[in-house]
Amino acid sequence: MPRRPAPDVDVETVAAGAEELRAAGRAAMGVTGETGQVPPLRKILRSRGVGWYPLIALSLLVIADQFQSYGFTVLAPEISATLGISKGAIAAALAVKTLAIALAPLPMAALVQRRARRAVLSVATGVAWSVFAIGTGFVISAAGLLAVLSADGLSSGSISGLHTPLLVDIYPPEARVRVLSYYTSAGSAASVAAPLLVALVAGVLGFTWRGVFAVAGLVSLACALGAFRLRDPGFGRWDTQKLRDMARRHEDETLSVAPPSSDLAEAEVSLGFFEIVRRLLLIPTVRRLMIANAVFGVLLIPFQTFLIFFLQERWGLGPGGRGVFLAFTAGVSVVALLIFGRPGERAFRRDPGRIMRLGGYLQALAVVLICLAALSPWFWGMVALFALAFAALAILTPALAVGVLSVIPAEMRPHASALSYIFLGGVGGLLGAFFLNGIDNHFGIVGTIISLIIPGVIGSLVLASTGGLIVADIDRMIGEVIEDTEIQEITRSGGHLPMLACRGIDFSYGQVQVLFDVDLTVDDGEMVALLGTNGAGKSTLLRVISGIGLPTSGSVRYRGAEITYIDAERRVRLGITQIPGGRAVFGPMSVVNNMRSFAYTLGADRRAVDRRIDASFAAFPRLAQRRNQAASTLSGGEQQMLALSKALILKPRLLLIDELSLGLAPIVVGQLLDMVRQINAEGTAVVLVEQSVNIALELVDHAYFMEKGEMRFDGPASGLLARDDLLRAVFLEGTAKGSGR
Amino acid sequence: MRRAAASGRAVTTLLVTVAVLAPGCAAHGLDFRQDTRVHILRPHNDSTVELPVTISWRVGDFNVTGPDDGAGSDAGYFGVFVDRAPQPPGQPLSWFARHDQSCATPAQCITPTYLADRNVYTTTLTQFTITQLPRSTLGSIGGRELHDVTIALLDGQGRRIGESAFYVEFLVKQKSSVV
Repeated sequence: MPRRPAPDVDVETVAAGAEELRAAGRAAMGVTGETGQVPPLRKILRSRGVGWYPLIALSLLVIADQFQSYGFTVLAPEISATLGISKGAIAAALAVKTLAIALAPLPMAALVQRRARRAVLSVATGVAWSVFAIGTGFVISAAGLLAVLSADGLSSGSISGLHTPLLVDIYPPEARVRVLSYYTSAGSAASVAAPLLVALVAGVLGFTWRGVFAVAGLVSLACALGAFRLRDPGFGRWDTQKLRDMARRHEDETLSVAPPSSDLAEAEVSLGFFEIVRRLLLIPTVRRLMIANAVFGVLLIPFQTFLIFFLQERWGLGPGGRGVFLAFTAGVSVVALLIFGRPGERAFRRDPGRIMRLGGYLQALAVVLICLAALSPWFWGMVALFALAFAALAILTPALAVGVLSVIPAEMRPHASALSYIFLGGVGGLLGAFFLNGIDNHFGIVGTIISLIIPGVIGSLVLASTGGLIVADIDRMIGEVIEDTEIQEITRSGGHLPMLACRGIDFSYGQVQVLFDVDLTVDDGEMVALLGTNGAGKSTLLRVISGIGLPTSGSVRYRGAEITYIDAERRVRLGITQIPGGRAVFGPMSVVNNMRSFAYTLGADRRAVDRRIDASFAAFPRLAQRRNQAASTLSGGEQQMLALSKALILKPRLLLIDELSLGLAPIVVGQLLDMVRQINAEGTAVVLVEQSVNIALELVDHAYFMEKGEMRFDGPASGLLARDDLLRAVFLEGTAKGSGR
Repeated sequence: MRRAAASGRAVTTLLVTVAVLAPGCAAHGLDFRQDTRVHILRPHNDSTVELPVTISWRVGDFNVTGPDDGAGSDAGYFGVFVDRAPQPPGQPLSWFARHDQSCATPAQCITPTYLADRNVYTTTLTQFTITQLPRSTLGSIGGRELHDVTIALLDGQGRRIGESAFYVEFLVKQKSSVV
């Protein structure tokens, strides 16, 4: 049995180094803790060598996109009459477009996952939706309208998926809140510009809706072409990449850097699209902000429709009056966003939690103002209250964005933006429409608006609660990036790292946390025992290693690569195999088919599979005799043999065995353990979870002991035997079971 | 190699997009400038009315000749479409019977009653009185139902002339509007 070699740099040392870098990392993220005035934006941009062009170019794109959306909203009756298609068909086309807009950010995020090409995609999609806008002017049928609107919706997904992450990477952290505020204000400005354009083209110049779309498309095309000089600076230029550079410099001081010698290819361990999405939703701040986004979506999307009816019904405002009202409130929002930038920046720099709490208070204020506006007996009072409420809501957009994007590495920001939009539009928009519609049927339009206080206050509390999480999540992100870089550097410099290193693992089943800051290390070819009482968390830890369960925090590193969030199936391909506790076989399937199912990850090489199955039968002749028998008809020992044959077929580098001996006769256990020894002797590292301390310690040199979700012992097996305080619990439990209590 | 594959995907996407969009679009016979030949005088857009309601309009540069089998674009009569869209440009009134299995030929079915059942009316006058309205599919606001009326120009054969359509939306007190 190979002896555990001492790592050249162990994971704990790396973690300590990361702690030193964390403060510097926070500063790199723009969280300096300073309380003084923030420097003017132009000064920051000049000193950092960044221009206004990207902000202007992306702002123009977002304004241009609004032209077509607004045009379609106000000109729908004319389109219906011209084409001879029903309003239902128009509404259906619009619904499909909305769906396309809601879903498009996800594929956009997937398109930029491996390469930072957000700028080129933003421009290309800008050109595309401009062409579709022009094309809308040439539509002659419902099918054509549906096609052109769907294409437009899909292409404009780049706005919600790519623009904000791109801005965050173009502009330095100390300017981000202002940049995002100004960019958001461009969206509000579009609410003023779009009606003006439609009024000019249709009212003054006398064009039909076709002309309006053609002109809007041409204006949009000009904006898109104006953005042609936009360049993607790469992921995390100012933060994540900077953190990596800092970590590399830190390593250079202690290690002589040798040529790269990566064990696992990057593609093998880089997160896939859904793995990233799942990983994001495990971050507490992101999870809460998504809930806040959903509530925000109720206020932002269906509420607007009810507001139009309110203005018409309560105050008798026609289309013109409503247009002026919306333009005025949008104008106030623009002013509010321009004012908010600087204090927002200051709040974030001092403590990101403040900006989240401020966001919560602003949302609460907004819903109160909305309720007061609905009840206001004075017209101008109503207008002023709504304008202030919308201004408060407008400020929420950059606050939420900067919150979400600060706690995640740069490569994942497009995914986070896409998720935000789905929660905002898909969840908030749709659920809000049902919710408000139901209220409207019972309590009328004023009752509907007042009812917003319920989701509004809930959303405010959720949003404000992220104030207590965001700093910890920023630190966690910084820690992960630094640790990852340092481990990479150690690997590149030829330093030794353990094959498997779990560090600081927390795991919860729902709200119940079952693992607490658990560390575990396994070296190449090593066999370790993981012992503990029932319910100590041993099996859960195996699930985290094999990828069946995902930790809420901590990292799992395998052959130097971070695999904490990659799918279980991909981990099997990397060489990690788990034999779950109990009878880990497919009962209704025959023995040989069970083996074939184990070989699934070997792909289509049937001959290689057959060879390995034959080798398994040679190792377990009793299974060969029962090759066509259903697995459920085998004895307990035979079923465990079949389960163990998985290791012979897959030949993993790391084998996780959960409770192999449970309920088996000693002679059968002996046979199985001989096979485990043989597998280990051939070079497979083994983590053996056992209830039986005697059996486990007979096999291994190194043992871990867990109790109540915590690692209580990590050391030589002989050392554990001397720890009566720990082992007593296991023996007492075994005695209690044996006596039938 | 990778760049070539990416270019190939981009070209394929472009071709598929064009193939999907092209059949739904046209380059000829589209009106980009507003047609001002008809101007609806009353009711005003978004006004509240009571039944019966008279829609009246002013017409210019169009000879009202009635259904005389003429096919010119400057003469014919008016189609009045209540809470529904007119037939597509260039289509005759028989278009409304195109899916009616009970009609041997769509043209045979087209009678004033048949059209009225579908909220389609024709007139040579510049006004039209609505005495009953179907239940609104456009929604209601404060006890008033939202309805719309579209006027289209028809040639002597009942074909819709060009893309022009003239549109007014109004609110009708709910009790009086239900048929």
